[in-house]
Amino acid sequence: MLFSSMTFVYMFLPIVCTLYLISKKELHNPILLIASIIFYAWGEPKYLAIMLLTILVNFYGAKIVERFKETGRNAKIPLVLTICINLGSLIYFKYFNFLIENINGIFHSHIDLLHIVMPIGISFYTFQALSYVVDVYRGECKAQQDVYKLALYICLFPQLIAGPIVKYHDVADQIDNRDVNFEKVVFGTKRFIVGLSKKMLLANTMGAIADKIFAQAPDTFSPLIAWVGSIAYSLQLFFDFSGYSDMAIGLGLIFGFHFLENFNYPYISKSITEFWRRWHISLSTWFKQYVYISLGGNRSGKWKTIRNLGIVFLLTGIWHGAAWNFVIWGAWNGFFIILEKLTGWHEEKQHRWQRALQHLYTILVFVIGWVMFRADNMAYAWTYIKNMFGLVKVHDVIYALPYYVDNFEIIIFVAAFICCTPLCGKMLQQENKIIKAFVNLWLIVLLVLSTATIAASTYNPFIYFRF
Amino acid sequence: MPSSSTFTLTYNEKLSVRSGIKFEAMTFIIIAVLGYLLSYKLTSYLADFKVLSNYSRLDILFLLVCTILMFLPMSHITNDVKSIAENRELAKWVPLINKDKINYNFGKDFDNWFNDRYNFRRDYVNLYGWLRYYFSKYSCINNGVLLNKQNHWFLILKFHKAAQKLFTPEQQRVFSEDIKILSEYCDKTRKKLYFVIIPEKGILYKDEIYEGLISNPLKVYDPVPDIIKNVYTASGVEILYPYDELMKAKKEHLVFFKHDHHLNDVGYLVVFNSLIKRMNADGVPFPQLRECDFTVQETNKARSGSRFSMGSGFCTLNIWDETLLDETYKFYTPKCELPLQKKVLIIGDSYVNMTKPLFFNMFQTVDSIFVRGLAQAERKDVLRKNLDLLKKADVVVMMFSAIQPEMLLDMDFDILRDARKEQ
Repeated sequence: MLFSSMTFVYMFLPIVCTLYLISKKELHNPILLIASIIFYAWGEPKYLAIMLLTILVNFYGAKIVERFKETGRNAKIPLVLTICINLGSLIYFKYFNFLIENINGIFHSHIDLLHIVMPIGISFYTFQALSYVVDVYRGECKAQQDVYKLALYICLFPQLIAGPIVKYHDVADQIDNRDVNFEKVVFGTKRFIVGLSKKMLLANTMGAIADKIFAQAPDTFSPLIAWVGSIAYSLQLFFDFSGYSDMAIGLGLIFGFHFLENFNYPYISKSITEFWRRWHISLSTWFKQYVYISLGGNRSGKWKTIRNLGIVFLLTGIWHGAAWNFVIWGAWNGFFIILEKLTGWHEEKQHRWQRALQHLYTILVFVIGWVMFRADNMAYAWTYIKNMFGLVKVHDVIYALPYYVDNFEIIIFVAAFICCTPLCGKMLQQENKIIKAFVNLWLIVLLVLSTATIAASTYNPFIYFRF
Repeated sequence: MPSSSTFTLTYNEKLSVRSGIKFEAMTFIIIAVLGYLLSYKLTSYLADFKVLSNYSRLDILFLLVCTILMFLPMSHITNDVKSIAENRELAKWVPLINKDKINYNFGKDFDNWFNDRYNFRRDYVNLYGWLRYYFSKYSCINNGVLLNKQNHWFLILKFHKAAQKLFTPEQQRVFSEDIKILSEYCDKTRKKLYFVIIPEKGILYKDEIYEGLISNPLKVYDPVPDIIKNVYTASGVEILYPYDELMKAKKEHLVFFKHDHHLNDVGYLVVFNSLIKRMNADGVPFPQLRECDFTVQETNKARSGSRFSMGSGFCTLNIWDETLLDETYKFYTPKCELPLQKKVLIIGDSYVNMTKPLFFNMFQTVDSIFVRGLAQAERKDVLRKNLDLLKKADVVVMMFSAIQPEMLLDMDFDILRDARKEQ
C-alpha cells in the first residue's frame, strides 16, 4: 500500500488510528502489528513470507548471539551467519540479475536471467534487521524476547517501505513503553499532511517536468531545458523522499514513536560532506555506524580513511539500485567527499563570496550526480551533462520551454525552491496564535489539494469517444 | 408485479410478519468490543476534560476538521456501474475469497474499487481540473490530453506519440507482407483494393495545437510518407494519404473537431473525394461530391462526431469552460444517390463509421468491418470470421487513421492465402 493512495489516507489510516487511539495501551502493539502486516500484504501478499522469515531469522540469530556472548563463546559466528542470510536474501532479490548480466557481458556467456520480482521495502527492512543483530552483538541492547515486538520493529508500517531506516537501539525502549498524547497526535497529523503535500503537490509536479525532458534524446533540447530538467529532478527526488520521511515521522508520532529526522535541508549545504550529513540521514548514519566504523573509520590513518569512505559510498550507490549508474553515482559522491577531506574545502569559510562559491560547487556536484541517478544509462547521462554545459551540438529541437513548464508548474517550482530552505520549517511549531491559525488553515487546504491530486490520478476517462 | 387491487389489499393488511433479524454472534462481539472501547475512552476523555481544555483550541479545531475530512470519502460508496463523465465502467468489487480461491490481487482490486467509488470523488477531481485549467496556459489532463487554452484545440498526446513512433522496421516488414497478401488476393479475385491512411490531427494542426510550445513545427515528424514509400517498394501497394488535400481544405474550414481527434464531416468529404479521384484513375466512374450534394446542418454544440448534441468529450476532459462550445461545425446528410452496381467492403477503425454514409451514395451495397474495440485475439480472427463479406465485395477499402497502428498488425491475413486457393 502506498502512503499517497486514497485507500491508505482515507480508509486504512482513519480506521487504524481510530482503533489505536480508542484502545487500551496493552492493545497498541498488537493493533500496529496487524495493521503493518495488512499494509505490507496489500500489494504483494506472496512476499509477506519473506519478511516473516527475516523476522524469525533475526529473532533467533540475535538470541544465539546473546547466548554465545553470555557463555563466552565466539559470538561472531552466529552474527556473521545471520548477516549472510540477510544479505543473501537482499542480493538474491535485488542484485542477482544484475550480477548475471555483468557475468554474461564480461565472459560472453548466456546464462538466463531469472524472473525475480523484488519484494517491496526489502532494502529498508533488511537494514533494520541487520541493525538489530549488530546492536545485540555490540551489547548496545538486549535481544528481544518477544518475537511479536521484534516483528513490530521490523515491519512497522510507517517506515516499512521507504524509511527512514530506524536503528534498533533508537526505538527499543519505545516499543515497550511509549506515550500517545494530544500534542503528539496533532503534530504527527501536521507532519503527515506536510509530507503528503510534498509528495503529491511538489514532487509529482517536478517529476512530470523531469519525465517530459528525460523522455527526449539528450541532444534535442537546449542547455536551458537540460538545466530545468536536472533541477526539476533534483527537487522531485528531495520532495518525494523527504515527503515519505515526513509522513513516516508524522505517523510515528501519532502512534507515539519518535523517529529521528531523515532530511535536514540538504540543498542548502556548502559541501558534499555536509550534504551527506543532511541527506537521507538514517542511511548515511547506518553506513557510518555499521560499515565505516566496523572498517576502522578514520582511526587507522589517512589512506585507510579514504579506502573506508570509498567503500561506504560505493555501497551507498549500489544500495539505491542494481545498475551501473547507481554505482558510478556513489563513486561520484565518494570522490568529492574524499577530495574535500584531503583539501579541507568543506570547512566553514570566512567570506560570504567563499561560502557562495562553496554552495554553488555543492549544487553543481549533486545536480550532476542526480542526472547520473536518473538517466537510463551512462551514455545518456554523459550526453545530457555535456548538453547542460553547452558541449553538445543540439539538433532537431522540437519543443520550446513552455511545453515543458507551464504557469502552474512555474508556481510549484517557486514553492519548491522556498520549501528547500528552512524558511517555513519552524512554522509548524509556532505558538503565536495568528501564525498558528494561518498554518492550521493552510495545512487543511494542503490536505484538500493533495487529495484532489490523488483523486485526479485515479480519474481515468476513456477518452476515445464512443464511435 | 402485483396487480393494483392485490397491491392495495396487501398494503391495507396489518403487517404480521415478524422481524427477520438474526442474532449474529460475530457482529455482536465486534459491536460490544468497539462500544466498550469507545465508551471507555470517551469517559476517560471527559474525566480529563480539564487537562484537554489546556490544549490549544486552534489545534483541537484543526484535528476535528482533519478527522472529518479523513472520514468523508468512505462515508458513502457509490453503487454506480458506469461513470458517464469518464465514459467507462467502474471497477467491481472482487472479494478476498473469490470462487473458493484466495484472491492474491485483493489489495489492487480493492484500490481500484475504492478509487472509483468513494464519496466526493467527483468534487475532488473537479477541483484539480479547475486548478490546472485556471493556472495553466496549456492544460494537460492526466498527462493524456494537451489543451491549448488560447484557441481551445486539444490533442490526445498518447495518440500523437503513437503516430510519431508509427511502425518499427520489423513492423513495416510484417505490414508490407500482410498488405501484399491482401493485394494478391484482390488481384486474383478481381477486386479493387484501396488503402487509405488518414493523417493524425497533431501533424495537420501542429501550428494551432502547439502554438508557442514548439520551437520548430517543421520538426514534428510525420513518419507516414516514408512508411508509404517503404511499403510500396516491398509490396507494390500504393497507399492513399490525403495529407495535401486536407492541408488545402484546412485553409478554409476546420477539417478536424477541435475537441476530438476525429475528422469532422468536411474532413471526411475531403478524404472521400481523394478516394474517388483514385478510383476514377482506375476506371471507376463517379463524380466528385460537393457540399450541394448534401443537406447541411450547422451547430455550435458539437465537440465530437459521436455526441452530436451532448459533446461528451468536453465533459470527459473535466474542463468546465463554456467558451469551448463556441465553434460551428457542418454536418452533412447525403441527398443524392447515384449508386454504381458494385459492392464495397470497408475495413477500418472509427474513421470508417463516419465515411460509411458517403459510400452509400456510390455503391449498391456497403459492408464494413469495424476492427476497433475488439480484443486482440478477436481482431486476429476478424478476416476469417468475415470472409464471406470479403468474397462478395467488388471493391475493398482499408481505412485507418495513423494513430493506432497496432490494429493493422494484429489482423491475420494468412487466411487469405487459403481463401485464394479455394476461390
